[in-house]
Amino acid sequence: MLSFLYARQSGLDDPVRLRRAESTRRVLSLELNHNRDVDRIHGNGINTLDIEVIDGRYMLSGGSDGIIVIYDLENNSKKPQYTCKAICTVGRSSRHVHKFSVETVQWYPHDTGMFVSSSSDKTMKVWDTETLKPAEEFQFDGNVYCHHMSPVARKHSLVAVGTKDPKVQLCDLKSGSRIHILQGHRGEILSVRWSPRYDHILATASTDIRVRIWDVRRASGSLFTLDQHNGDKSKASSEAVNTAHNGRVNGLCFTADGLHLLTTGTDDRMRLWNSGTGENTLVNYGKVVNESCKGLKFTVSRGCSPEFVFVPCGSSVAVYGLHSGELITMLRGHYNNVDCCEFHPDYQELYSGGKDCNILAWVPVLRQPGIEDDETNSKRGGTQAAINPAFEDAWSSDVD
Amino acid sequence: MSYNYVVTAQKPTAVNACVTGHFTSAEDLNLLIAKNTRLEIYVVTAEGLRPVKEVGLYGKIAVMELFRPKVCVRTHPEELSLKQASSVRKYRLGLTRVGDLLLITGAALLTRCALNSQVIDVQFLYGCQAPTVCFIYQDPQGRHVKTYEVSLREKEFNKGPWKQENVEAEASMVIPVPEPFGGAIIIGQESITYHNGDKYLAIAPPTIKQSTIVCHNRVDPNGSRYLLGDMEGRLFMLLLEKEELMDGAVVLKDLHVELLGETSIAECLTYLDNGVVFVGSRLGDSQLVKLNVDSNDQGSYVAVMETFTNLGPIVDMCVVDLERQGQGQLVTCSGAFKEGSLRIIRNGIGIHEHASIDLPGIKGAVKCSSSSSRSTASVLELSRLVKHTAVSFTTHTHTTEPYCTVVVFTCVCVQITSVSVRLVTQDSKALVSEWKEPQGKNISVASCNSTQVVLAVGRVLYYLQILTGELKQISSTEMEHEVACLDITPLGESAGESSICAVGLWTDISARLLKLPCFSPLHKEMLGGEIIPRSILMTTFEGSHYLLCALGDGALFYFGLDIQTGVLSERKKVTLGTQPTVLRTFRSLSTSNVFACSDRPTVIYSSNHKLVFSNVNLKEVNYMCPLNSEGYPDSLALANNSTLTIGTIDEIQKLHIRTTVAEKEVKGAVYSMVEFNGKLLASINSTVRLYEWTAEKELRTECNHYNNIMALYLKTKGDFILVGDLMRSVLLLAYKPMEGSFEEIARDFNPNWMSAVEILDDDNFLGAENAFNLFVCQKDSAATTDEERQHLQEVGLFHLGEFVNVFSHGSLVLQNLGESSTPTQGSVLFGTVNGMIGLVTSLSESWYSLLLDLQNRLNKVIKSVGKIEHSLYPSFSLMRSGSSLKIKLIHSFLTLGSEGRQSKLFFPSLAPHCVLLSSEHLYLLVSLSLKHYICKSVGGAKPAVM
Repeated sequence: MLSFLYARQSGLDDPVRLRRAESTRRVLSLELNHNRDVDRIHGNGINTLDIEVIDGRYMLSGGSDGIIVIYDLENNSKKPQYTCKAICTVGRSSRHVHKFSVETVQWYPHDTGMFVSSSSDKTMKVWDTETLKPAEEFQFDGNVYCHHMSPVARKHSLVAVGTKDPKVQLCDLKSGSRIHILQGHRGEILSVRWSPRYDHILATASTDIRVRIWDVRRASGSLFTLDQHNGDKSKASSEAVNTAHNGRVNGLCFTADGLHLLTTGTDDRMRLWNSGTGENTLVNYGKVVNESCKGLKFTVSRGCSPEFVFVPCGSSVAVYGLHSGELITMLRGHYNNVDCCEFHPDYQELYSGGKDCNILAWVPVLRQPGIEDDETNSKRGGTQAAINPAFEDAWSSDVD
Repeated sequence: MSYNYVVTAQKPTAVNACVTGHFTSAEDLNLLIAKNTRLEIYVVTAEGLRPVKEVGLYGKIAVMELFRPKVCVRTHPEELSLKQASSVRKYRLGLTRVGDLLLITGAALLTRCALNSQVIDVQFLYGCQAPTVCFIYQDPQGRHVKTYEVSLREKEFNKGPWKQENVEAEASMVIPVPEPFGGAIIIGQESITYHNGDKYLAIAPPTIKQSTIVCHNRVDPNGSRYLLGDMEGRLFMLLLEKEELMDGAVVLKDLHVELLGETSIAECLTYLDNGVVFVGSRLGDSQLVKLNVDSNDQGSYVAVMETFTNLGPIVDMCVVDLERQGQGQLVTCSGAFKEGSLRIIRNGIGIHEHASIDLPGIKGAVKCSSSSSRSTASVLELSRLVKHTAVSFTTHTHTTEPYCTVVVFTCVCVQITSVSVRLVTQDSKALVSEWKEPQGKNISVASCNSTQVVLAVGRVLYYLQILTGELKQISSTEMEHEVACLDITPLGESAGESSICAVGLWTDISARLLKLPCFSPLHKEMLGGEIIPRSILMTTFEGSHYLLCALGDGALFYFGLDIQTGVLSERKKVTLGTQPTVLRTFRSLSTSNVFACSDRPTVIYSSNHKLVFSNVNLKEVNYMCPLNSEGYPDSLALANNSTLTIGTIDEIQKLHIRTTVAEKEVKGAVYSMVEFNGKLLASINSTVRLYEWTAEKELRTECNHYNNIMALYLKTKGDFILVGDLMRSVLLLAYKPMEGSFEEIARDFNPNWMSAVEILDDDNFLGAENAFNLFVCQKDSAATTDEERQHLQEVGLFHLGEFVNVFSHGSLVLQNLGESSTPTQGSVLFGTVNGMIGLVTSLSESWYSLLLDLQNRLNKVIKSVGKIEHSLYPSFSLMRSGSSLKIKLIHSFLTLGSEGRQSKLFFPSLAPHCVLLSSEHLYLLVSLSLKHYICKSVGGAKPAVM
């Protein structure tokens, strides 16, 4: 650490380097911390979590009981130990509450005054955070599995919605109407994600084992379909051409820079794709157990070097090196299956929600006075060396 | 609400990039130096580097290359392309060129090439059919070199002619080799490899293994020699030995590396001409070095010609007042590795003493050359009350009887004594001509230049002309009151003859301008008060004429002077000291300066058409005269009651000091320590801990505060402690002496990665963070809820573009300087990685709105370099909104010069967006910026006074 600080203050290193190194160290030291609890409100499994990006302060959760809760993640206790308090709830007593399981919740990316939830009660609701009343409600013919708003779009305010229907729907928050349908899939849509790089690029995943990339400015079909064999026909049977997985694709996640896309499938695989070309990068993450029949909400780190993937895997959260594919650790703590996890990029914290009705906070271990730095370093050193030799170099000097 | 003004005292001095080429015109050889956000353009001349222009950019210069658009080769000199680096650089940026094709690399290249790897370096190759790039990249297996052809039609990269997998693991640079060899040189940690697809040649000279090569520059256009610089500051020459084959083709035979010598730790190198190399350094002073054919005694081929001061990286600094004159000096910890130094920065001028003589009773000091042919041999004549002594610094000493003034005039000198004016030949010391007052009265004051003498006897003024071998009285007049001081310094292009005479009078305390030779009055300026003028002087600074008039109490009036009409304007007053002041001019670096001799000696000069008053580190000076002799070139002779001192004016003082520190072991890493109410406050990892020094002479822990991620910085004020966290912004703690514990008062909840913190006042806290921003947080004591009180509100944001390492309370400026006080309060200095020193000071709300309005309007008038909008600049890293302070343009405004300002501001037809500023506002604005300019003189590459 001292060497990083010295390099930063003498201008030898870009200041971002210290930040990345420390972020990485913190991600590698994530653990279930007795200093941090999250209020337990849900009486049933937690399907979805979302942390707003404006202040990084408020988190939404949606549960199988139809309840939506907002938590304050900020520590006002003046002590290291604290509980993230639920500051408001759309509970069963509210007449606006979703009737069935809430599948997805998402903050409006540019303002915490609004958030959007979708549910298996065939509705998607746009909420006013202040009053906790829906400002808008969209009705669909089937269960809504997923929706997503572009984190970067300033020119449009489209919500992509995936339902039981193979057609992806685009709802416009400005007009409150469904303005567009993307046709191409032949199964239920389990996940939709906008690119964090281009506001018109959308990825969709379906039970038809395919992932399609769309340019919503073009009326005709998708841009391309991800092909796990990169066009090599000899490896695939005729019906498996242009498939992303050999099972239902239930999770999508772009990397923070939008250059890559991760997909998960019920074939227990996770794949990393070049989002510009659709090429399978063939990173091997091994077996990623995936029993979810609905959408799987997984996430990637931001601001680390190298970056990590956090993916629910049974009752734990698996942490992989994004580009190495190496399993770094399993975060064990839930008593039942984990359905969602969300990364807090400001403080490198991870929040996960599962069927055991708990939201767990995974917090980096602090460097305590008296604890020798060498110990933590040598323990982690082994994993680090395998990830990136260049990084390891810088790290080993830290020990001195 | 607090409003703060951020101002640069010392521009960045660390060099990040340099390039040579024809930029200002096809004939000029230019050196362009990038200093973070500034670009300096020099012309390379036989005498050295001549600065042409310095421009500021709203961005940081990451890479710099010269290129010439093909279309306009003949008419336009090469244009410069600059790549801006955003604050978050994902990959190393690259910029390379071939012909009119410019390649800007970064993350985009990776997607194009579909590489999951990091590009280390990229360059265009010479001698290829299609434009071809060669780059080093890293993937999990190691580092590889690959080439790609650029298809201009499809705007795509295609597979190139060759590649080399698994080059050295630390290969970091590609140097393209021009024809006839072609191909590329790959520089690694231990080896240097040449590759062109067919030929592969590697050498591993032991000399380069010691350190890492960080920069290179081609010497010859044919690419047979290259300069290499490493991290230890060693300079190498890489030679490509050629071989002619049977078929006439020229191929590479061998590579040689030779150690040339040691320079500053180079960040960039550029070969200028005639064996002269510019070594740009970020960690130490930049240098201009000459490469010699033969080595010196130490075996070095390198001789340093010129050094350019660099204060960066300023790792720490503090303001001290060593001489207890109420004026701060800044001591900085500058440089890194072998370039580490402590530097003292003082506002004002240091005199370096060369010699001093004890001579009691000195009444005046005058320079005279002993002959015109030996212009450097000077004789200094001193008048004493009783005896007359002349001190010679060459060969002869003589004693004559001068009294008042001596002037050089081609082998003849004029001596003015109390009884007469004498014309004396210099060699033979023979009297040629003498003038006496008709009634034999004593001459009270006199002034002369090389052709004229004006003297006063009581109320009567006489005007004499110095003709060959004769003094001729032209005219005389009687003033209303007795004459106190006189000046006839020739101004403008009058070449040694003045058409105006400036006179200061007793009794009515006035300054008057009279026309010569007729003594007809031109202008009369009542100075007011009861203190008589003691010294009057006409002078020219930066093309503007001034009249300075110093009073007996140390006050100085200064006016703009029109030499045609003699009219005075823009009257201003400053207090320089408390004793009678004598004004003298001297020249340095072909600029004129005025030395004000008093109990607080001051040098007056002009910067951007404003007069600047700089203190001199001497206690008292009664008389001063410039001196240029063989023994003492470009010196000043300074006399007080008892001593004559000869000295030169210093540049920044630079000290190399090594210290030893007593050690004491502590568990964990101590990031910061401060004295706090007689106790020791330390931050150890995430803990802030207070130690008490017990009677048993032990450090005992009194209390702890744990709620941090990593407490890096501490600042205290009273019982308050400001903690700067690695990544959680700032936290305010209060120490409760009764309970012996810390209480968390408030925290800024923004995720700022801190680099320095400071307490501005009880409610306002200043922070600097990772992304080159400054911010001000405010404690909201009046808030109604606990939660609101716990939040420090971010009230001001400023994108500085510089990484701040340290804040320090204090000022380099004497607070009492200047008649009108500037409308600011307090001052905090900051030092950055690139050697910039700046100042943050508080303003009133009305001033803030005026300046903000001015800034916004200036934004529309002042065109930025590279058409990068000012408003775009902060948006790189400032995502959060808030009342932001970015008064950056005001300096560009002030540098427009008074004429530029007038035209821009007062003639709407010329500049439709202008502000109408009253002259009073303008003056205050100028005085506000005075802090800035005073500091500026202190430092850097070109001190205004030498």
